[in-house]
Amino acid sequence: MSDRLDWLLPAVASLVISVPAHATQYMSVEQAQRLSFPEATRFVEAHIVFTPANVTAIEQRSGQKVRTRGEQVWRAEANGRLLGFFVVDYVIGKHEAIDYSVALGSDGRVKRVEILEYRESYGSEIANRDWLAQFIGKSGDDGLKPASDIRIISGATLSSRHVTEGIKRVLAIHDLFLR
Amino acid sequence: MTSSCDNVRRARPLLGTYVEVAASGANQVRLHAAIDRAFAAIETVHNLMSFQDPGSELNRLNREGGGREGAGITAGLHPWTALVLAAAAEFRERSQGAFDAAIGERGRVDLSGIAKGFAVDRAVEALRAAGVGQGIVNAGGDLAVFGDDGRQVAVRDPTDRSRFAATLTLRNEALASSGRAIDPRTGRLVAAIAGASVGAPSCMIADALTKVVGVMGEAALPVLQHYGASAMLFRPGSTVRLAA
Repeated sequence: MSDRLDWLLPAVASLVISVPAHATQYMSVEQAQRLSFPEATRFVEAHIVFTPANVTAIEQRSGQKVRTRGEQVWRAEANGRLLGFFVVDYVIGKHEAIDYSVALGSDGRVKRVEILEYRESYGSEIANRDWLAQFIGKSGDDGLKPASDIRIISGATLSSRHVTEGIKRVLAIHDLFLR
Repeated sequence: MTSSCDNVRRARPLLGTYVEVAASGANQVRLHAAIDRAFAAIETVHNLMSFQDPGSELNRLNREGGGREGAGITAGLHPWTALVLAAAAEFRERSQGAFDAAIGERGRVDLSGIAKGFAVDRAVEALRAAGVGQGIVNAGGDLAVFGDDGRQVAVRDPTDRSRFAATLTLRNEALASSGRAIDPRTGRLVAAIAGASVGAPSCMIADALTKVVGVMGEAALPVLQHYGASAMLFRPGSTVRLAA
């Protein structure tokens, strides 16, 4: 019996890995840009690549760890006039990796935050039979659509602390590079 | 996909969690405009009633020490803050203190127990006013579903977070869940109850009643009945359904 269990375990593990993590794409970068700066006539790429000294400066100013080698930034312009900056950042929490955008006005204040993509590895839940039942009968071609196919969960309180911390880092980057 | 039945979902970090708004039944442009208004309503509630934000109207009131009794202090307040304070006073009265927004000394008030649900309700109202026929507002598991199509919602079992305790179909209904509660009358954690989920006609009621059920257990049934709500009460080792 125990031999059989040992033999079964890796198979179960691979089944778990093959189940896609819960991921929700809310909007593309372009959609978020248009929503954040509806009056913009163009978005000019102004990505920043960090030097080690930059990383130290950002970390000191924001009190947040820098885990990326740069920041994706666009200047939002209306007929040559600067409206503000559009920044795409991501945070990695304990359970989730989140892409989000921050729109900063020309005064450096946060205008809008949108979640672009939210991934959550459901971990132990995925091994749960009830959870797996949702995937039965769905081929890869079906393209799991979380809204309609995966249940909404009550009782899964998620803290947005990581995004709040990420925004502090984005504001420090603005103060150091974009002002 | 025809433009008349688009489906838009967006999420923002608000109220200390992720608030997701999904809407369908109109074209993309209208849905985005409606969702903007829903988020704006949630931001208004956040700015008025956040306990964490020292600049909120609630904390201004707390500094003046006048939030406790709910009645008589509403002059000059935003009508939404006045309404939630009055609701908090009512929930406290009907639950014999099992729900209490007052904390500590000097009449300070923390509306976290109902402001999230109230924000969900205002977001639903904003979506409907903007002509959206179908949608979901989900503030970190406190949610409301409106429109004719039912939506499946899984309720996590607080005694074993790897399990779902139930899958419910919600239609024009709100659901809120909470974990272990502290009895405000004793300041002690209620050990015999691991958590509660409440379905109710509004998310503010659902939100408040999760605390009432989490403290009172089965004795909360008359309060549930009064508000047309039903609940799942999670005890270590057993789940009790409470419904009229």
